[in-house]
Amino acid sequence: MAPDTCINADSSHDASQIIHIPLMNSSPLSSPLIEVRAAAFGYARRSVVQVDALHLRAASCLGLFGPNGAGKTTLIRGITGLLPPLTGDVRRATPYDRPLQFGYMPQHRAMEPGWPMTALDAASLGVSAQRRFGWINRADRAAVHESLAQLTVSDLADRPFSKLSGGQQQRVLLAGALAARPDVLLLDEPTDGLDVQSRQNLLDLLRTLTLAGLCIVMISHEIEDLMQAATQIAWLRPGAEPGDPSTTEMITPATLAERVLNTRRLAQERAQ
Amino acid sequence: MNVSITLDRQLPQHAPTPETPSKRHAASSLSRRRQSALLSSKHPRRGERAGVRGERQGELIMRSRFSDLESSGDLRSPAKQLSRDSTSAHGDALRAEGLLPLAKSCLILLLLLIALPTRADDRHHHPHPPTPARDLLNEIDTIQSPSSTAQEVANPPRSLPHRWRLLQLFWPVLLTAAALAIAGSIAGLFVLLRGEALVALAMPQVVAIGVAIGLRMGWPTLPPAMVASAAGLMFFVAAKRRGAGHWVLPSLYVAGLSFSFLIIASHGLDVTELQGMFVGVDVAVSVQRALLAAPILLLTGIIVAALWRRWLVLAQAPAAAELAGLHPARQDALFLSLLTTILLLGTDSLGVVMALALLFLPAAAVLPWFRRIPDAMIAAAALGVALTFGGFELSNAFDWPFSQSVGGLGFVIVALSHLAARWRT
Repeated sequence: MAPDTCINADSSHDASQIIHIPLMNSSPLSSPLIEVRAAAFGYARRSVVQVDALHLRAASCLGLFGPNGAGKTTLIRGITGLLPPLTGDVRRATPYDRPLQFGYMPQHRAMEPGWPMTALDAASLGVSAQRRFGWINRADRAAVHESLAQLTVSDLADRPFSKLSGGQQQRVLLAGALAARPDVLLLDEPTDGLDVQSRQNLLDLLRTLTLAGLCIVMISHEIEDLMQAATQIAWLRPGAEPGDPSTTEMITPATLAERVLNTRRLAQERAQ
Repeated sequence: MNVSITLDRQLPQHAPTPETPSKRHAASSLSRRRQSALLSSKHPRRGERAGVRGERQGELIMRSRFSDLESSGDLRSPAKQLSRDSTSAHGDALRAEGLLPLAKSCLILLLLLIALPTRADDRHHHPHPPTPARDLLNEIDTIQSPSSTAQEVANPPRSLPHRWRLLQLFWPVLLTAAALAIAGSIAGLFVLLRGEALVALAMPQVVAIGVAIGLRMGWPTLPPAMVASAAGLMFFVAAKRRGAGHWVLPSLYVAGLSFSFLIIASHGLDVTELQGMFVGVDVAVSVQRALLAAPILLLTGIIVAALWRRWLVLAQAPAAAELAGLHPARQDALFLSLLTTILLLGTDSLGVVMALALLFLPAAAVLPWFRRIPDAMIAAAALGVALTFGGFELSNAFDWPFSQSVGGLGFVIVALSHLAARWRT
């Protein structure tokens, strides 16, 4: 795929609306950006989650699925290097001879609404975090504006972030995460609290970004979302006994749907 | 303005003398009322009122109260009982948090200080040790104003020369208060947004412990106040990291209020001085203190303001900050350290009321009106300075205490601001 790709990003938008998504820092499709082998992650020598094998490549979307407390956040911390593995091996590629860059899109519902900030300020969070003292320069500001324009929310830049709708907030935050030019984009329940149309728009956008070459890791409890956006799924299952680490099974979205449908059917039969 | 200049003499610079170490070498206890009395010619009896030794009265009252307690039983035993109770009640929690050694050390140190006989005990024999601050008060009280009428005619109240003389007299107070207004209102904005008002309320009480130690030992108050606030801050940060911050802050608040007075129990002169710091009626700052505190306060305020995006990221997307290599806990400790610096200098120089009023009120007043943090910071700092000078004017016009004038005016502005914001929406 060419470094700069023009893709019709959002089917729900005007057909003439073309989003220009530059391929940021992604490495060739063949070599994994992150490789996890027989690793266990946890705290204070207590293993929370185990992974046999996990490969993250450019132009892929990994969905993390599992119940609360199964260790999704712990796995994310392990993948990103914030948490060293207790056992096993985690390898991260160094594209362009520098460490991998991670972008993070926070949940819009987890944002503090009382802080006075515009959509532009909210979109600048990711870039600001990477700069000394949080100061952003003119080039950074231009990158954020460009990213907002790519996601068709540049007209919201000067509006108070707290006054935007949930869908608009998510697009602004996604633009901010992309403005930092990440190799891997981390999304924490991106469709939480969105209406049907906003959810569909966001999922379409994520698919577009994946096709454009970005590597995405998405935590979600919504099977529909994972089926639409994810290319592979890490299903985290809690251990048999309390205190046992969760296990991670790599499956396809189709397998997840099949298993969940079967489970629902069984539950309905039991109820009848 | 109801006051006019009747004083030709400038206030002396009260540096500590070698024979008599200053109780509060930087912040003197010059009463606003006394200063007003000096300037007043319309109320001839005010000079007499001011002539009454507030400290001596306070000391006599406190003396009789504490001598009753001393005769009825051990005055210090409730403190020991309190510390024993609190130790047993929180013992398990402290042990679980790994804070027991630190808490134990603090308690032992405080109890030692309470029980320690010091040079200050000599006051039983010499009830009014001459200190520079009190020398100043005595001098002011004994000043006669034979030429007051002539001066009033020359410089009528509210005239420009009169205001100029006021500024000449009070510039150290105003400079320190303005610096506190700028730094405090900027930091206060983030205190309110981060929901850390209880930290700001508890820290001045911890500072008071250090001030009390300084008073008790006959030292300058700022160094022990720094040590106390640093210890309090470390204790809180360590507890917060272990998820125990919610019970540490109220405990620190009560501990500060209690131990500060227990340390100077039975020393009425010091009790009055500490009461003055808490109430904030007596506000005066020496030139040396103003020249020390004002630049530090301004620098701290500038640092807090310059890092506004950092505070924003930590509040809104701590995971993004962590992924970028920042340590949220360290950044949190940095903010609390800057806040503690402002509160330490503000409390020790101008008193608790002024420090808290200038921390909270300008920020609370401007928050509903701005959609960006930089704009809110500029407006809060400007309002803080306006509040300081407005409170000073009110104080002079109505013979009100300075801190309370600032606080009262600030609250009225906050109430009006929120009403107007509600009406607007």
